[in-house]
Order: sequence, then structure tokens, then C-alpha cells
Amino acid sequence: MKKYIIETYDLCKKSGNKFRVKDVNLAVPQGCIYGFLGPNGAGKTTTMKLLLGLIQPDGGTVEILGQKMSPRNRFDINMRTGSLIESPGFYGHLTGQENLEIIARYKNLGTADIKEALYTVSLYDRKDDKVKNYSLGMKQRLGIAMALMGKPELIILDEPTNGLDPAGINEIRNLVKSIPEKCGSTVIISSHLLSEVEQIADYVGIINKGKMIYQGLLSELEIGDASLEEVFLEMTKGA
Amino acid sequence: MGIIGNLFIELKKHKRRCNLLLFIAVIVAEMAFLYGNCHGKDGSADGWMMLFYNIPIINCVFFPVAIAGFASRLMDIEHKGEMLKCLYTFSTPQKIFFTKYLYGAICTLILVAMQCGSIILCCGILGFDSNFPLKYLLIHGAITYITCMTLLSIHLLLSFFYRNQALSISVGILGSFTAFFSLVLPESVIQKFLPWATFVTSGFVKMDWNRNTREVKYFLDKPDLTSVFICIGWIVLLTCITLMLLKKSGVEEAEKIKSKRKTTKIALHRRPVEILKLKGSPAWIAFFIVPAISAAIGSVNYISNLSILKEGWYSLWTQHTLFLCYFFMPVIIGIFTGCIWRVEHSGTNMNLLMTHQRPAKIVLGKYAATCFITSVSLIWVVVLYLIAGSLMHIDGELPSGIIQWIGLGILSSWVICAFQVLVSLVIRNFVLPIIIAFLGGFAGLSCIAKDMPYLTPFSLFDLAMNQRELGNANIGTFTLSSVIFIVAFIMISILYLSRSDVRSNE
Repeated sequence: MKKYIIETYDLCKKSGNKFRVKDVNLAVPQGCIYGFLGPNGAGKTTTMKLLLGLIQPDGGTVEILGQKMSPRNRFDINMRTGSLIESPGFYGHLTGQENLEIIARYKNLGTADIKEALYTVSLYDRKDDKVKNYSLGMKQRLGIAMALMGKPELIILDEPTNGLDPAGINEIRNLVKSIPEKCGSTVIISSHLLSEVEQIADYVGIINKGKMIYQGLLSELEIGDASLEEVFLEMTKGA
Repeated sequence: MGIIGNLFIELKKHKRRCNLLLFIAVIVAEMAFLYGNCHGKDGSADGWMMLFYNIPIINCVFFPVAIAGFASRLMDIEHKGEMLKCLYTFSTPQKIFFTKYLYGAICTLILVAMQCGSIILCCGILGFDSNFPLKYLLIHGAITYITCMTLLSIHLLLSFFYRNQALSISVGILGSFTAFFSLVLPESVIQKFLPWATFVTSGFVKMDWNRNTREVKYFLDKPDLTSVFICIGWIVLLTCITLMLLKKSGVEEAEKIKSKRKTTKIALHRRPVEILKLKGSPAWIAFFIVPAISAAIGSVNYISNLSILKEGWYSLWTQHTLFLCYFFMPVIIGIFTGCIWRVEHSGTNMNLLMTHQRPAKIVLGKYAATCFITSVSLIWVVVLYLIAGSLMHIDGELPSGIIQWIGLGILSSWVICAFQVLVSLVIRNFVLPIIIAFLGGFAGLSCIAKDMPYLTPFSLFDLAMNQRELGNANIGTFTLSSVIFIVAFIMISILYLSRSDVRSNE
């Protein structure tokens, strides 16, 4: 039997009377790269926030890293995860290095980890600049560095390649690809760039209008010559 | 599109913002004050004059803050969503500004109308004769409106050109206090140039206080319109300045400055995380400057009133701490907690924070930082007091209870800190918590006056810093009340943070 690092059971989240996410049953196997796909406003970010306990579900449960998520043990679980949700968070008036330092303090890491994180996302040369003076792509890199710091068991990245240049996208792709091997972590990555996901993911989940419409191996989804893009567009068209 | 078309767009933008709620709150607060002040006083014949005498004074405290808050709310929506970038491609800066100005003018008119209505209502509630000539209501309305428009011109200008809304609200609060102080001082030309004081300086009801019989008599006078004309001058001048600035304005991004300092090694900071996050922020300066100003004013006041203030060190302490405790301290604590939560409320930082730290530790960290700076500030007050006292060669011994005063003062200031930490956590807007602190200062004052000092965090602090009142206070009840307040506010903050959904600006 496969071991799952995340399992959700009939996860629901409402805003007002409308469901933002309805009956989502996610199952993410350990050590894989899980591509989480869906059109804009489908509920990707909401689901990811639910996984991290940042928002409380209106129904259903989340089991993550072998524990049931609740406000009480949220912190213990989150200490074993790294995440980049929505756009990266940062303290603009501090330098890149100081921002990483704050994260390092929270995670009980040392100088070596900060240095490694800066090198990983190629920000070492700009570490003494204030983050508000960073370009969009550099802020994104910083956000990724924060998520990767300390080699957490589970890494959740919400559209990590937003605003990156082609070289940056390539770098991040290679980086994400190497994570399961290097650190043994599991990665959940959401993206609009289907070709990106196609190149790195083992598993995919497709969500549309708050409901999961596919979950399984990427290889099973691509039938015959149809590319992921064609399958995706077909699936999300009518639903 | 004409300015009217733009106005309708502006109205749409403020849908569900409930901007007028702020004004309604101010009017209600003012009525509560009037009721507390005039209730039970007889003189129903000239009672309306008493109202017309008191209302401008209250206005001069409340309206500047309300208008600053309102102007900042008008502009806040554009700054928060980075909308100016987009708006500048549809419209001219002049149009954007003056549409807002027009919208503000209409809302201010509603505010003044509400005030006029509240006067008649107050007459009814307090049992005063409301058959006074309508003329006076109109004059009062006109004077108030012109003054309010001057203030709006100042604050909208500040809110428009400075993204940081703290500036506008600080100017508002400072103006309100300056005006309030200037009323205590003898009349002078400078007072007439203060737009904040115009509410009072152009009033048409004067008070005659008989020192021997202790009788207060109100009488009508010709309104002194000098300051109203000066206000109109201010409006013209400010409009010219605005036009000039608008002509040059553009949406400039902050310069992308590269740091010149290149270090190869990574040196870690040693300060606590909360303090590190405040690096470069001027929030703490107020904690040192404001007590210094307060001490200076207090010392001057003491020297010039030596004939009345005969208790040496005791009198000096009252003079030093009077305004500081009632008005300034809650506000600067409010600004500080606003600053420390603001960094978390901006962007998606809340996601970051909540995935890295326990809610209890977040709240306690912020609370500890606030308590620390407040305590240092109060010790600074004592140091200033001792310095001023020894410079003036005050006779007699130092008050024996000073250690106790300051101990209780620090304890009760921690109550205000806990309260403000909670308020700034729940209300993501920067300005509203400061207004709450401001109103809280007054609420504390009235609780003291009504002999219910244990009821609000603010009155506890007032009680502790005023030794005359403290003499009668029950230390046990005081401590108990403080501790209950602190625990309650901190628990609510932690529960709120851990149970509610994390909201980010994205």
C-alpha cells in the first residue's frame, strides 16, 4: 500500500453561501512531485491554505504528515513544512538576508542554512539590498528560498514561477525536480504553466470550480498523443 | 468625463466602506460627552447657549481626528490596491484629486448637518429650550463647515501624496491637541491662524465666570470672523499648493537602490525578532519626544502658575503627566502597536508568519515589545521630572510614593498595550485603532470623572499617574482589575489569531 503524506476527506470551504472548495479528496503520495492544476479561481490557493491550517475548513478533515490538522497542532505540523502561498511574503524595509534570518530564527536554523538558501536561488549578490527594492522575480526567488530553508519534509509552492525570467524558470524547475532525491521531501506545486508541470510532476490533481475532477499519475492522464494541455482544456471546458 | 461622472464612480468605489459610520460615531460620542457635561444643570432658558459654547470646544478635539481618518480612508483604497498606477492612465491627477475632494466636501456637509441636528436633539434630551433663533444654528453650521473643509484640504493633501497614512493621522491628532492647548492659553493672533482652533475662536457664545459666586453666565456676542476668513485663505493656499504638486505628480516607483555595502560574510543580528522587524521604523521615537514635549509644557505651566500650584514636587508631577496620560500615551501606544502589526498585515506576510510561529508566541512577542518600549518611556518621564524639578530648585522632599506611582503606572500602561495589541490585530486598518486609542483616552477621563476608574484600561492608567486620585484608590482592586484586563485581552488575541482564517491582502 502506498504511503500518503497528505490525505483530505471531503474538504469544504465556504465563503458566504458559495462553496470555494467542495468535497475535495486529495491524496499525495510521499516523495513525489504533485502538480496541482486548475483554472484561475478554481480553489487551488484555498485548498493549499486549508492544508496548512491557515484557514479553517467548513467541513471535512486534513491529515498531513500523519497528523490531523487542527488549530492546536497546526504549528507542530507547519514546522515540518515549507510553503509559498499566493505571492511571497516579506518585510520590505529589511534586506534579503535579514528576511531569511527572521525565518531562520523561527525555524531554529543557522548561518549555514541562510547562506545555502541565498546560493540556491542566486540572491547572494543582492543579500544586502532592501527587499522593497527587489524586482518581482527576485521577490519570488526570496519566497522560494524561505520555503526551502531547513529542508522541510513537505514543500507547498503556489505558482512559484510567477514573474520569473526564462532562466529563473529553468533554475526553479531543476531545483524542484531535484528536491525529492536530495532531501527526500514531497513537493506540491501549483502552476498555470502546464508544460512546466508536465516536465516535473509525477502525479497531478486537477481542480475546477472547487471540485476535484482528476487525480492520479500524470502518465495515465496523457492518453495517446494528447498533451497535458489538450487534456486539461478538455476537462475544464464544460465542467 | 465631467467631474459629476467621476463623482458617481467615486461613490461606487466607496460602496460597502461605510465611511459615514465614522462621522456618526463621532457625533454620538460628542452627544455622550455633552450629556455627561450638561446633564442635570439647570438653566433651560439659556441652555442652548451652553450647547453652542461647549460644542465648538468638543469639535476642536474630535473633528480634526475624524476628518484625518476620513481623508485617509478616501485615499487608502487607492494606495492599497496600487490603483493610482491604473487611474493615471484613465484620468488626470487633478480630476482624481478633486473628485475625492468633492466627495469629501459632500460627506463633510452631511457631518455638519448631523451636528446641527444633534444640537436640536440634545436640547430635547437635556430639556433645554429649543426655540432659539435659527440664525445661530446656520452661523454655527457655516463656521463649522468652513473649518472642516480647511482640515479636509490639509489631510486629503497629505493622504494623497504620502502613502504612509500615519502622517496624516498624526498631523490630525497633533492639530487637535495644539488647538485644545491654545484654548487654555491667553488669546493671541497665533491662535487665529490655527485652523484647528477656528471652531472655538470664531464662536459667538462667550462665557462669563464670576470668581466669587462661582456662577457661570453665557452671553451672545458678535462672532469674530477673522479666523474664518483666515481659514478661507488656508483653503485657497492649500488648493494652490495641491494644484502645483499635482502638476508635477506621477506614479513613481520607489527608486530601486542597490546597497553599496557589500559583505561577503553573513553576520547575524542579536536582537529579538520583533525588534529586528522594526528596524528603520520611526515608531519608537514618539515614546521619547512626546514625554519631552509634555515635560516642557508642564514645566512652563508650573512656573507661570506658581501662585496656584503650591505643592512643590506634587504639583510639578501633575503638570508633567496631566496631558501625557490622558491623551498622548494611549495614542502613541496605539501608533506603535499599529506599526508592529502593520508589517504583518501587509501583503501575504500573515501567511508567512502563521506557518512559522505559534499564535501565542506571536501575540506575546508583540506584546512584550510594546510593553518594553512603553515602560522605558514611562521611566523616561520620571527622569525628565527629576531633571526638571532639580533645575527649578523645588523645595521640599521628593514625593515618597513616586516608586509606587511609577510601578502602578507601568502596570496599567501594560493594560493599554494589551488592549491596543488586540485592536490592531483585529482591525487591519492602521488609522482606526489609533482613533480608538484617542477616544479611549477621553473615555478613561470620563470614567474617572464619574468615579468608575476600574472600568476601562485607560482610566486605570489615568488613575495610576495622578497621585491625588491614587491616594483614594484601592491598590488591590487596581492590580486585580489590571491583571484581569491583561489576561483577557491577550487570551482573546491568541484565540482570534489561532481560530480565525488568515487574511492576506492578495
